[in-house]
Amino acid sequence: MNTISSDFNNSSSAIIFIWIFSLIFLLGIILSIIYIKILRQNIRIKKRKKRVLKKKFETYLITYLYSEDENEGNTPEQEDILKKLKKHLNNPFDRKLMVSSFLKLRNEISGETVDLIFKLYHQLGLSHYAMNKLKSQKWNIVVEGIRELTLFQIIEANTAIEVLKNHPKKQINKEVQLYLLNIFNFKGLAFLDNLTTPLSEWDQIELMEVLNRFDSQDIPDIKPWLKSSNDSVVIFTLKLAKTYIQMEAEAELLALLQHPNLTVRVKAIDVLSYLNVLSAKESLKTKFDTLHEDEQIALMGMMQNIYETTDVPFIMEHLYHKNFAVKLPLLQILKNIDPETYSSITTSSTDPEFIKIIKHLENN
Amino acid sequence: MPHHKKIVLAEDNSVLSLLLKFRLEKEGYKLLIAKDGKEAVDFIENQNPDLILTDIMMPFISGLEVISHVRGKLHSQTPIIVFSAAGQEDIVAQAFNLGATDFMSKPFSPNELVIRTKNLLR
Repeated sequence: MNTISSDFNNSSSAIIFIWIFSLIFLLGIILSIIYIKILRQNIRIKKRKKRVLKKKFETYLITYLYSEDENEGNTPEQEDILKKLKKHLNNPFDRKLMVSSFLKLRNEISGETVDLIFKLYHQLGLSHYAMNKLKSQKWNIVVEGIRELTLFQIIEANTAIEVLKNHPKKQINKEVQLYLLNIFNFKGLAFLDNLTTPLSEWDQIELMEVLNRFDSQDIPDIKPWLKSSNDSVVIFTLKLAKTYIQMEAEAELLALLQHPNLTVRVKAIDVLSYLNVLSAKESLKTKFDTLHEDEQIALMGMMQNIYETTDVPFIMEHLYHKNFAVKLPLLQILKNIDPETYSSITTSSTDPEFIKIIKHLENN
Repeated sequence: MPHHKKIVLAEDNSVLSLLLKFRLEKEGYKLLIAKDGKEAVDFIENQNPDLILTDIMMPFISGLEVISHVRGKLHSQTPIIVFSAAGQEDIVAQAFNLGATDFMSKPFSPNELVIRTKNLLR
């Protein structure tokens, strides 16, 4: 021991430093191993508790659902279940598990059983905890709260949720919109009246999916939304106009052909084509040369959908357009409406690109 | 009330299984719950059920493989009802091609399932 001590004292400072560092490092490893073991133990305990609680809540839920009878009010078994479940309400972990058990079933079934699940949710006062989440400073907690209130159709939360309509966080906006649609169906689209935040393409897809699920397809007046200063609202409304065949909005749709946003103009052409609005085609033909390339291509799509024999002069005028995406559809249309003229052009043409297009048309 | 008719229910959603077990046992059927496709196949081979209710998306073996096994390997004509999620129409078509008898789209009404079950097990 004295030899080790004297050796240590006589060593250079670098070696002393390395020894001390190694000892600290070794101590750190030992402490980490102990910490990891304790952590793993806690995780196992939590997992076990979760498994047990989950089974308990699922059993309570099913017993509650099948203790229902025709009389108003709860049966004694249901009262007993309520008492047992209420004991867990103050624990956030237990509460979260309870709600997820309800949702696990709610998402799979329909009919009166779902009404009973909602009844249980109400009787436990779980909406109160969900509404408290709306006041959180953390956006993800707010989103959780709105989502839960949507899934359990809590109409009383409407006032508290509507104030979040133009929240700077887009995730919150999306959940607010989904809540309003799920609770109020098509009437929930009223949020478009003064929406200032943009609606992304994905948001629009999700909203359309919700709308398509409704039995009643009684869409409100979309005309004001076509005049919105929010371009994404206009674009979304164009989707509504196409999906729900809104012929009443023809004038507003035609006005969009002058919209400052190119994407709006192109999508308006697509919708007018779908609705077979011939006046749109004539209007666009007269100013074809001033249109943006994308608009010209969209017009070609429209003409392929609603061509007439009166289109021949226009076709002949633009048949040698520099853009392939214009040439091809014009030739296709000409082939359909005036085969004689088409035939004479195809036999007399010497332009190699033209000949390629003609060959393609002959083979397809 | 029907006696001793056995039904294998292959469903990985534990609370849904419990609900359907409750509901169908109330009607007098004996339920064998499988939490995945592998367990379902074991039950079907050993218990020879009168009806099979199967979800499509399950761990280990899917509902489609269960149907294929019942019709193709076991050559059994036991009626099979398939549960599908919304938007799985092409999978439902596959299930019918493999030999499924009926399908129910989720979310479905447990009462309707009971009516269809009674119909098939008459």
